[in-house]
Amino acid sequence: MKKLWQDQHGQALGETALLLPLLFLIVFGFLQLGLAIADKQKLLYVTNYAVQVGSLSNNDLKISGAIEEFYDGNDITFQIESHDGETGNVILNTNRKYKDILTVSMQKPFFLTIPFLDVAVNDTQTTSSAKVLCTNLTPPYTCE
Amino acid sequence: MRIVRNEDGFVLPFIAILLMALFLVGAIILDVGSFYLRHGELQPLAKQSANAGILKFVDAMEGKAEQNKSAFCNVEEPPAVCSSEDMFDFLTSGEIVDLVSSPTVQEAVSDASIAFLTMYDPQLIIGNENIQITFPYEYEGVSELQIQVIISDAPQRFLEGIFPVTDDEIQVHAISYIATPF
Repeated sequence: MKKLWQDQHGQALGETALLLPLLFLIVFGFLQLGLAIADKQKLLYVTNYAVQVGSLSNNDLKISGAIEEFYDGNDITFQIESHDGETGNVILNTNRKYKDILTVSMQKPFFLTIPFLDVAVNDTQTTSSAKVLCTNLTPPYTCE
Repeated sequence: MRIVRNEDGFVLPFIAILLMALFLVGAIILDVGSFYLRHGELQPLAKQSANAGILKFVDAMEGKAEQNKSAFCNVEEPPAVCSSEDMFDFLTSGEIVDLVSSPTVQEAVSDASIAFLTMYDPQLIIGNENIQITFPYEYEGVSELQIQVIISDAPQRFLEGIFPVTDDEIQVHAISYIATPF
């Protein structure tokens, strides 16, 4: 037994085998981190784009359409909120008009990229706001 | 000499050093990532804030036009132009220049921009010291009716304790303008 304990053959292999899963986890974690950042960057871009479309059209359907250009799945949720341009008070979306403020918030779950598993770890959230500018527009934009 | 040749427990310290290097790489990924994300938030925010400022100037022009219209058209037989909805039909270029140079209007425009920024920053952390508004902003003499918004922000860095770099500030610029027929 003592002889076996003192035998150092394959020691490096044993230590490496112990630590390799940890290393793998860390490298895998970095990969997920990069993907999560890229995911949020895309969501941010789409939110800003949707707000821009809303600002120029003042049309909630066009905002939904702008979001669907990028995301067609069911994972995406978004809210459209309107504020009075002068007071900042929340108003109904249907009452939103020129110079009021439009806010679009989007949420998307982030899935870990693990083969055969869809694990949603966190909701990525973004928000963007703009003043409604729908006046003196040129086609294809129209003001409702 | 025997110590140097002894390879007992070699992998453990090697991995420990490797892990530190890997964590450093992770922190750099987070730092750079959060920097780009914040930049992605601030750039459209600056643009929308500039729009909010210029809309305030439009308010001032509309107010003046309305005043002129009622003074000009409140007569028994108003001229045909009184049916126009275009505010520029009731404004002169001189009046617009007066509005642009008025400190009250300049302050109102600046306040509207700042209010938009502070209220609608997704992270609600922008303060007055991070904002610089220039109205009227002259860009190669093109027009007086431009506004420039500059926002500076320094995102929180994970490596701040290790590498205290000072020029890690995000700065975004945006310009908005209104075209007049003059």
